[in-house]
Order: sequence, then structure tokens, then C-alpha cells
Amino acid sequence: MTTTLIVTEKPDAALHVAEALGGKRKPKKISVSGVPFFEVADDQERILVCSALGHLYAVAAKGKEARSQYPVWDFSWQPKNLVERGQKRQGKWIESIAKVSKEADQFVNACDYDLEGSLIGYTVLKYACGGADRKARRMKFSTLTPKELREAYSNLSPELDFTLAYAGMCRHEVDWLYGINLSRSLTQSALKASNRYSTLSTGRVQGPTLRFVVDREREIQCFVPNPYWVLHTVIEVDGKLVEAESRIERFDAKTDAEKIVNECADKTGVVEKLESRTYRLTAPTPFDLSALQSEAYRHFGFTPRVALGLAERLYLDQLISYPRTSSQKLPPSINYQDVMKGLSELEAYRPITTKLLTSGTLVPNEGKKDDPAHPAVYPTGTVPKRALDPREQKIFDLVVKRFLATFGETASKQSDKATIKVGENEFYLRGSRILEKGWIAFYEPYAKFDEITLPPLREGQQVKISEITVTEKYTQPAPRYNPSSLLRSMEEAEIGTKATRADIVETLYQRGYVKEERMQATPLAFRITEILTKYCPKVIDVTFTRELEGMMDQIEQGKETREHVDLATVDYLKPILEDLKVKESEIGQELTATIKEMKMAEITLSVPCPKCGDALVVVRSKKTGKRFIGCSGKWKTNCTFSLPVMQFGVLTLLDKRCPVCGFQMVQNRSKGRRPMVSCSNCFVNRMKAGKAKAQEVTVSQSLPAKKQELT
Amino acid sequence: MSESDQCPLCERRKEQLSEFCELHGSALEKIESAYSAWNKGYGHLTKQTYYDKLEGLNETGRAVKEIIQYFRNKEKVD
Repeated sequence: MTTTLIVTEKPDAALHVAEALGGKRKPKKISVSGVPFFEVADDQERILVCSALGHLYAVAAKGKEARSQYPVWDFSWQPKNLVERGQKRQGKWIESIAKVSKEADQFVNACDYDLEGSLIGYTVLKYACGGADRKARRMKFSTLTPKELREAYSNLSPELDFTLAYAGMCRHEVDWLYGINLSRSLTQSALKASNRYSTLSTGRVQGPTLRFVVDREREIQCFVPNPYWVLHTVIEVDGKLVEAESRIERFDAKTDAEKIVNECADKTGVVEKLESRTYRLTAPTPFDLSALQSEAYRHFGFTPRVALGLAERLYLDQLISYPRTSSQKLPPSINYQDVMKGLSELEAYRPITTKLLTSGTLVPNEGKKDDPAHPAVYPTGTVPKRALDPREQKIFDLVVKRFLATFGETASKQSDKATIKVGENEFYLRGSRILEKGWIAFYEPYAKFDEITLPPLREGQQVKISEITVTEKYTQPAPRYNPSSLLRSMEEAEIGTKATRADIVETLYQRGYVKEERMQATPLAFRITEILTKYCPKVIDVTFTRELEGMMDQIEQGKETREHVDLATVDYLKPILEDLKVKESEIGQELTATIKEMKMAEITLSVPCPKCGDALVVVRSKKTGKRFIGCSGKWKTNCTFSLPVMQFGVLTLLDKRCPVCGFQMVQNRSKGRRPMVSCSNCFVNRMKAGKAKAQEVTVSQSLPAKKQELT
Repeated sequence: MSESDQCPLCERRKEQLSEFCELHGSALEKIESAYSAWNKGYGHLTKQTYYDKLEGLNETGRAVKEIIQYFRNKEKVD
């Protein structure tokens, strides 16, 4: 009897694989030093399914040099628990997999089928399973449904997808070479100049991404608005008032606008022309990851990272297909009918699925983008077995409706335009209405179109200018990035991967380079970008990063080697790092002032102490270690004013004021949670009110007793 | 960096042949180049009114406002 060890990426996936391969037999759970393995066996084969915990191995410097040492060029792949803090669990996992692997004579990598998954499985098989990568096979699937898993197991690739794993390895190695050396250079420069430690980081993708935000901020800070004037015109048609547009949308000179007002005020116009055009609105394309993240941000305010996390949970629950995909295609092999029949079990989707299933041939409106590994994100048709939390439910609903909408019929919209002539001046009345809802009906409330109905009009009809005024306006600066639009810019610039972009955006917040939802670059971000531009401009050059991405893509296609790209990176970085080392003190000085200023700004509130007017700062109690807002006048005037703040996460003082009391708002960001914005002052006021109420209740409850006592 | 090398509005180094750093220099350039559009827009506009209007607008960039403030303060001193 053969023993096969299957490695999956996460524990939930291991259970699903075991359940699928076990058929009617329930998998036996075996615990090896607390690490779960699932066993299913028949007469011929014993299958053991284990999981990694994401990456169990990481790139790290060879040898035991100090963490401050740079440049470092020698690296190797090492167990994560030995090179990163807080990864003890990973060590236990590696030991247990190594132990169990000795019983196996066949190996399968069943991690997610993409760059990271191929690499996770490869490193586990190579390092923990004693070089089993050479004889291992690859299991490829896009959903964790039993049917697909069984099919994938009976169609295993004869060997691992080495080129994909090597491309993944190379990406980690190149990023490590960049990140470790440049970040250590910045951190050490600042440390030596100021004697104070601050974590400063940059990276191959992080640097150019930060530059996007800094360039935009620079544009906003140097923005000079220009004035322009628009006409506000209201026309009366058979007693009904309708807003009209002037043919000239904006005037650069106020007098030009005023001239038209003088010519048209209280005048009568004539309907010169009536036009109607019909537009076709084709169904949306299926979701690739970035489109899903973008819609999740637009409709629910979820950051790209949160949206991806929620989608991955739904994938592990067998509800949707693998979300890390670049594809906008839905191949017929996913079986549209089966998916829709499955969704019919959910009442909310039944009217749509019934309509689609009875409409004849199902053809999705596919997009251009493709991904050789996975189709677009789609629901599997499996009904949730547990109550989804509200955020999961939102993503699930969005994925389901988007999937169904792609099969919808083209919608059509009619646009109406009436041209009104007042002397030589032209105005337009515009209306629009949906003629055929088509796919829009399936994608509500995510697809919305405002309908404006024009009153009945005929050519030659006289209408009155009821109101015409000039409004002064100003040109607007470019909008700040938000996490979703920044991710889109990274994608357009072809930097990073679908798996890493969301994390990089999050890192910018964690390092204090950006703040607020509408990403505002901090002085530190400006300073880091300026230093990198001055001393090593190529490091933050999108073109160079993109070139490297191209080389790594070539490894995936077997046209380039990992060793060659690693060497090219070292050759490129070596002179830069040597130069940075020489200029360490100069760079350190440039950084120090900004860091000091930033650190003070980070903890100093813009609102003064309401008791004494001195500055309020976020401080930590020496006694309890807890942080709070305190008055800096404590030592001068003995002011004892204080307010509580949340004890977890990264605290950021926002520029926003509380709409209730006007106090400065604070934001808490912590991993895996939505940023929380709160007002400490209102919190205290609510607490006081609550206490007072509670006291009132206690007093009023005790009164009858007292009364009784007295009588 | 000596004080004479530093931008009077921030801690950055002055650009060569400029009174300001790159950021504030760029803001100054934009203030100067936009004046003609403002002047044309209003028919006639003194520089003083132009600065007043810019300062009062939310859309105006921070570096632009800092430059205007700097020249106002300098005028007082001069």
C-alpha cells in the first residue's frame, strides 16, 4: 500500500481536500505535536493531508551577523521561526511535517495554484520533506468543491511547476535584497545621526508606490486654483421648472458670463431641436481580483487588503473560486448551469437564476484579461453552511450578483436633448431613462443610473428663462489616492503582484508614510522619497521596477534563470549601497530633523487643552504602560486634564474634527481590522452621561425602599 | 546644512540660484504663472487681492499659502 502526503496551503483547505478524497469515508484527524493531519485510506492508498501556514520558509541572511549590518548579499531559505519573530508555531509545523513525511512514498503539492502557492509547497517539500520536490506532483484547482478536488487529484501534473516556484523564489530574494539593504541603510543613517531608533523602510515596489503618493501630494501642495464662471439657468416649460445647461460650460472671464446673463434674463426662448439617442450598456465583465477590490471599496469602503481577506475566507468555505486571479474569463467548464442551480437554493438569487436558466444559452460577457492558472472569481453554487458575518455576506453578494450580471442581456438607455435658443445663445435640457434594464436588474444595488424625465416638448415651442445667474467656481487639485485607486495605479504601472499589492499599501500606513483614508503623504514620506531620488533614483523608478518584473515573468516562462536575476540585482545594488554607506552621515542628518518633527507631530494634537490652553499630547503612563491624551502643561501649571485613547493598534491623529464637539479625531489601525475613527472627548462625555443615568436609576430604584423604610 | 543653504519655509535645502527649496520654488512659479489667468478672469486684479483670494480658498495648496504668508511677513519686516 502506498502512502501519499498532500501539502495544502492552509488548514481549512487540508480538511476540504481530505473530505473530497475520502468520499463517503470521514477523514480521521491525527494530531502530531498539536499539528493536524487528515487521513483517508482504502485498500490501495493511504492519503495524509497536511497544511502549511502560508510560508513556512523565508529568505534570510546567511550567518549570524548583526541585524544592523549592511550591505548583505549572502542569503538562504530558512525556517521562518528561526529568522522572524513571533513564528514559533511555524517551527512546530515544520517538525511535524518532516516527521510524517518519512512515512510517505508519494508527495503532492496542493497549495493554491499560483506563484506563492507553488513556492509554499515547493519549499515545504524540498526542505521539510527531505528533497521530495523532485518526485512530487502538482494538484491544480480553482475551487475547493469536492467535485473539482477529486478531478484535480485524478489529473495530477507529473511534476511540480518548478518555473513558477523559481519565479516566486526569485521575487522573494530580489525583494529581500532590496528591502533589507535599503531599509537598513536608511535606519542606520538615521540612528547614527540622532542616536534614536526609527524603523524606516523602502523596497523594490514600496519605493515607487510611495513615490506615486508623494508626487500627488506635491502636486496638491503646489496647486494654484484658477477661477472660472458657470451659468445656473432654470427654464420654465408649461409651468414646470427645469434646470438647463449653457452651450458654453465654463467661462474664463466673469464679464463673458455676465454678458449672457444680461442677454437672456427674463427672455423667452424657442425649442429649436429635439434629439434622442439610444445607448447600449453591455453587461459587466467577470471579476478579476483588482476589479473585485475596487468595487468592494466603492460600495462598502473595504480596503483592498480587507476585501482580499474576506474573499479568501469565502474561498476556504468553498463558496467562491480562488480570488487571486487576473482573469476576466469564465470557461464553460465551470458549468454555469450547475452554479446557478446551486445559487437557486438561496431565495435572494432565485428570481435571477430562474430567469437566466430559462433564457436559453448562457454566454458570459468575458473581458480581455486572462490568467493561465485560474478563471475569474465566481460563486461555486455552494450554499453557506454557517451564518456569514455581515462583511463576508457583502462580498459574497457582490460576487454572486456580478457573476449573474455577466450573463445578463445588454441594457439600453435613451438620452434626450432639447436645444433652446435665446437670441444667439444656446441652452440644453437633458434627460435620460433606462429603456431595457437587462443585466442592470441582476446587479442592483451595485449598478445605479439616475433617470431624468424631461417634460413634453415640441420643436418651435416657446419657453421662458425663469432664472439665470453666474456662479464663481475654482479648478480643483487632483484627488488624493485612496487605497483602491493606489492599487489600480500599481497595477497599471505593472509593479507588484496581485498577491502583494494590498500589503504594500498597508505598509505605507504602518511606517507612517501616509495618513488618512484619502492618502496624504507625511513629511517623512517626502524626505525618504527625496533622499532616494537624490542618492539612488533608479530605486524608485517605475521603469526599472517594471523591467525587473519582466525578468521575473521570464523565469515563469522558463526563459530566464533565478540565479541570473539574483546576480543582476546584486550587481545593480552593490554600487548604490556602497555609495549610501559613504554618505550615511549626510543622509542621517537629512532624516533626523524630519523624524523628530514627525514624532512630535504624531503625538501632538492640533486642539489645545480646554482647561489651560497648553498643547495636548498622546503619552504613555510610566506606571501602567497605558497610553492616553495628557496636557503638556502638567509640569508648568499642574494641569491634570486627560482623555483616554484606544490601547490597541497604530494610533494616528487625524486632521478631522468631531462633528459633535469639535475635538480632534483619532484613528486606530490594526491588522485585519477596519480602521476605527473616534473622538476621545465624546467617549468621555458618553461615559459620564451613562454613569449619571446609571446613578439616576440606582437612586430612583432605591427610593421606594427608602420610603418603605421611613413608613 | 548651514542656515543660508536652508529654505526659509521648511528644513529642505535651497535649490541652486533660488531663494527656496524645490517644493516651495515650484509653488512660487505656479503663483506667478497663474496670475495672468486670474487677472483676465476678473478684468483687473491687483496682486494683493490675488494673494488674498488664494489664501482664502480651500483648493489652494499648502506650499502656495506658505509662500504668500512668507512674502507678507517679509513685507512687514522690510
